[in-house]
Amino acid sequence: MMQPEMRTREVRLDWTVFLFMFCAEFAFGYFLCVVKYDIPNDALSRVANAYYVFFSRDPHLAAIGFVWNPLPSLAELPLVLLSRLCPLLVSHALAGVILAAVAAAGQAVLILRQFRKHLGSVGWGLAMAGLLAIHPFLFLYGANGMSEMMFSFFLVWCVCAWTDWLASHAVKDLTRAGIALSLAFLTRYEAVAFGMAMALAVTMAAWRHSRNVLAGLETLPPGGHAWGMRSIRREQRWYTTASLLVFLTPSVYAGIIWILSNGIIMKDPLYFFHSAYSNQSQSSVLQSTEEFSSMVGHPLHVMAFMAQRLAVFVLPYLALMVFRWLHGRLWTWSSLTLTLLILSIPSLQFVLLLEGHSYGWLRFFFYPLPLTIAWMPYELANREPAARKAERCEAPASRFQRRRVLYGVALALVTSGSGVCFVMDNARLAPEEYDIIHQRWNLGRMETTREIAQYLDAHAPHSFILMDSFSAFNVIVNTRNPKRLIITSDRDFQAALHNPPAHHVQFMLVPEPDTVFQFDAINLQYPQFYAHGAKWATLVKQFPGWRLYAVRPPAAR
Amino acid sequence: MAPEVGQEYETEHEETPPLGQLLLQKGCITPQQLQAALAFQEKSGGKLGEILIALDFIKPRDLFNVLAEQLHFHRADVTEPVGVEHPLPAPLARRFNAIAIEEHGDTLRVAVSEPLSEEERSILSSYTSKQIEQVLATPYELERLWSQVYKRDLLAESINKLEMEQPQNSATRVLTRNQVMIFCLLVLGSILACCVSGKHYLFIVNVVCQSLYFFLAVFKAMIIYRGMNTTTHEVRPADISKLDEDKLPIYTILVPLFREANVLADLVRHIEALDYPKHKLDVRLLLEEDDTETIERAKQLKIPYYFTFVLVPNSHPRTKPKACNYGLIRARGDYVVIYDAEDRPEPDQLKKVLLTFQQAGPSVVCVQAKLNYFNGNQNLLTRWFTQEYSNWFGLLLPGVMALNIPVPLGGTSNHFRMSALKELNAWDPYNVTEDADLGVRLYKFGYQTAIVDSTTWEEANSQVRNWIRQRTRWIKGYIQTWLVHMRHPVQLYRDIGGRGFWGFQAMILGTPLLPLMNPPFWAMMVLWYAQHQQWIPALFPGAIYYVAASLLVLGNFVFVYSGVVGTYAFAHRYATSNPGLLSFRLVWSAVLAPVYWALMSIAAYRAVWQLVANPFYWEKPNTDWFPPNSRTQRMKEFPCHDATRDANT
Repeated sequence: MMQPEMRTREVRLDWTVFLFMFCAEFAFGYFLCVVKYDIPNDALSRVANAYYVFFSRDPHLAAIGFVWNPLPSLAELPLVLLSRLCPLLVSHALAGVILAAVAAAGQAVLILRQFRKHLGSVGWGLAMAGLLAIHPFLFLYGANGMSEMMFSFFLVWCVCAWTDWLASHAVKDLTRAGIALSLAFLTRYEAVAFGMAMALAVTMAAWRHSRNVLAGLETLPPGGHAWGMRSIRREQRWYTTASLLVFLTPSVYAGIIWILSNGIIMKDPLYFFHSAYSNQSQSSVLQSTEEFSSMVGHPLHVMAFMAQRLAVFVLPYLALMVFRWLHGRLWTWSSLTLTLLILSIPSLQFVLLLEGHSYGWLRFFFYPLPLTIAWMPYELANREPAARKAERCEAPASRFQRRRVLYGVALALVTSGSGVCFVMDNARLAPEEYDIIHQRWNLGRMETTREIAQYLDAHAPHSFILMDSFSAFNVIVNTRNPKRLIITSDRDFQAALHNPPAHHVQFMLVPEPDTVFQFDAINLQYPQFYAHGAKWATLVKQFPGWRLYAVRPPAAR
Repeated sequence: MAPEVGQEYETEHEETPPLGQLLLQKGCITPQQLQAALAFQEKSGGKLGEILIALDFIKPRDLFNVLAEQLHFHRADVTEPVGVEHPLPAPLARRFNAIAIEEHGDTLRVAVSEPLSEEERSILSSYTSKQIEQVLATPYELERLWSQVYKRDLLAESINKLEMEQPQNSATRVLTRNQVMIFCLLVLGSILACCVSGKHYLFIVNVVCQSLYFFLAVFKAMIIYRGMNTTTHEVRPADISKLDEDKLPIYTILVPLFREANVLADLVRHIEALDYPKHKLDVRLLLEEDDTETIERAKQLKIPYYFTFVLVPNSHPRTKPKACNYGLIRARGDYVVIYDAEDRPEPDQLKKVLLTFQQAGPSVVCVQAKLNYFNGNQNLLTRWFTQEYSNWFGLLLPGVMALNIPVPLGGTSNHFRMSALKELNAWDPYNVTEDADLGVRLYKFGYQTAIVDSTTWEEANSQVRNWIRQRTRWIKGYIQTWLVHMRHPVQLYRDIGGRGFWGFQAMILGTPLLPLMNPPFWAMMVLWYAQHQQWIPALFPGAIYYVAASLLVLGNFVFVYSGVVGTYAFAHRYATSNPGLLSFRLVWSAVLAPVYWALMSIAAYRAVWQLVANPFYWEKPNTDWFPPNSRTQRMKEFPCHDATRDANT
């Protein structure tokens, strides 16, 4: 039993680490988004989705949108409510920054706790959590308001809980893992691939462990009530499937609810998958670029593409495997399981790239890094030989071996951190990160849309203006009076789009239909609108990449 | 307590050999039997005569014949009193455990099973102004005489005592006049409101129901959360083995039986398997007077002599709590427990409970054992039932205990300190879920209930019809209990405080109310998605809509998933302690729990109807729901390890 004062000390340390990490990430995020005004599109778009729920012309929860997973925007709702007091929360996506910083800080605490729990080592916990946190790539994503860090937090939580379960076989650990997975699913779709790998891992572990759990059946006295081998096998199967059920129920339920709400609200159960705003459709733009079209149907090209991006992130995993090999534990169940987890999300990318449905951003490939670190404490746990045998785990036996692994992985982590700096500075390998560092393209686009908002506030402060929030979110969050904007989540948007004059639309804002903006609702409905306007609309103002058309009321025609 | 028979003789009547020797001389027992009994006495204490009976070495009749001879007493040779004009008043008779059976001039013959002391005799003598002559009767004979002479007193006490002493807690009347008035006002108000504006009325009703539902669901989720983080009272095996049997108190076991002839043999076997010195057990089988089949079967079976048959006279209300009260009056134990006929308590339960009482302190007067089903894997219904019970006793009740709110006791395996139970006037014979009601009354008296980590295995109802009948009775009882204790809500709030009051609402009102509220909401949901009836969204404005939606999406998930997790935890736990009794297959049935909830709603509506139509009808499902052969057949289908059986053979 743990001493209360020791427990208090641990909690205090956890909070200190949390607050320190949060402040560091938030400060960096503030610098990026407010000082430099370099806000990633997706980060702002997610905050904007939450913003529509309260402040659009038609406030309702479903305005949060049904293409991207809802949890980041849902979690931002309370912060967005405060935007009246602090407009930066929305206009500069600080709500997203706070969320990412919380996730990064939470991840550090999870890793610290895990090392303390399994290794009994606070020092190594702080070292590993710290090294992971200051890894430049992770530090950036803990600050820029994207959903990656939140997703990474849930994955790490899931792996921690799951490895706890491997050690304890207590249902509460498996439940935690299952809930973490469902939250991960509500954050990013990659969770499907990860979940499948985890489900396989849970199945293997449960089946292998079932004989221990059900050992009592074999000791039952012979006679009428004794369990035959067949019934023991059957019960083993029930145990395995029941474990899987506990693990997967939250995620499957989240999936069902997601599909149902798509079906009920968007009238298409798979709306998130194949609507004009989905990844499926946006990525179709890629077919025109040579690099991506060359990969379609060519597994070797895809592999080469992925290897360049994965290399820096799998270093700690490779280090772990090398030590497993050195210690004669390479060909074990746990090696297989870990490999499954590490490969799960990249495998999904492999398939998507092969079919031309992924942009192959660098951020899709960093997950092996936190996953390996989250797994390590279990790998190195200091267990009694008997417990090791009962758990059928293959942890390194000696202290020396453990030490060696810890130093080796720490070194790999540092190498990865240094290496990723070079990758991020390469516009081909890491276009998004390169842009953040050098402020080339995104900043200009953000400034343009903000200017549009200012123009609209100055020249048409009360006019009804129709725009697709898919492309014009930055205009919406920057205007002083969002209630007069007719945007995609409004329930009369489709009707207004089909006949703007009849619905009192006074202006329409439309982006140039290049790349993904061809999926802007106005461009889809009136493909020539940007270039030539319409009989009922005249060009009023042109911005770089945007045009504002005035709609003539029916009487004036 | 009267002095010990054998020893009394050894000290006072030097000229006669001790009881053991005497029995040997008479050839009633063998020297080996005497040795065994003396060794037993050395270990567990107690009277030699009782031990010989408990070990089944001698029949009570033979023992008492020899005892009478030893004490120079006559034996009671009548089956009913002869010529007694004024029987002893019941309280006096009970105090001395003596019954006047014959009157000859100025001598009154009194049947006893323990000789009275000089002082006791003189008290009786001064009361009756007659000479007292004692005759010995076996406990069984005495019991029979008792039910002849004091039948009416016993009956009156078992039926009316609670009503006389705590009328506010008795369910003799379903509704008080005030409650009837409030009910009528509500109905009238509703009709009036409907006439004025049906839409607004429905709207208000919906808002009230949604808020109530939300409160109950959140409270229940909180209880479950607490339950997950609370361990029930754990008793270590080492503590059990350290218990000194010599100091164990007498334990009364009440078993109400009604048309349960078929399970009688099993019952005896499972009580025999209990790890407790038998001569300290006071097992009382409560048989209904007109249930000839069970009585006949009991006579045919060779039932150990420490079992007492109590014939409960046929009278209104014919309920289990009445039978229990009736059986309790003459119970000898310091502790008392109720088991149902088909129960299989784990053998160490009584000792675990005693240790729990010792460790928990005097405010804990009731210890509830966990209930679960040994035929859980029989069909989908029993799987549902089993997973429901696993969660009720494994998650919900520990949570209730941790929050210190009233605990609705389970139907059986609740153990009490006798003194406290009598102080509370035991069970309410008019309440059809006397256990839930007693839990509330315990709380009102400032007592606490603990839950012990020992399981009693019962037989789950495997037929939907029977299940619904049983559930109807339970829900009806909960409503009845709620109505009884809510006669004066303000008073109740003062009595049990805010925590107790809201806990009471969540447990006693929530249990029947949730299944009652579900069907209208389900219907509205179906109507909306199938037909888009326009009046429905009008009932769910703004916040109410989001509350309802989050209950639908999150609430249902929380309850289903906590069922899945709880069931898994139990299957896991029992896999080591009781291998084979709970299969992991049950976890799957937990996913389908919403169908089970629909069955509950059917029972809930039946219960409301019955409460109006026939409030005291005690709808007991037929225990004998398997043909005799299918019982053994079933055992083979799901080979389950029957610990008690093994211990017995």
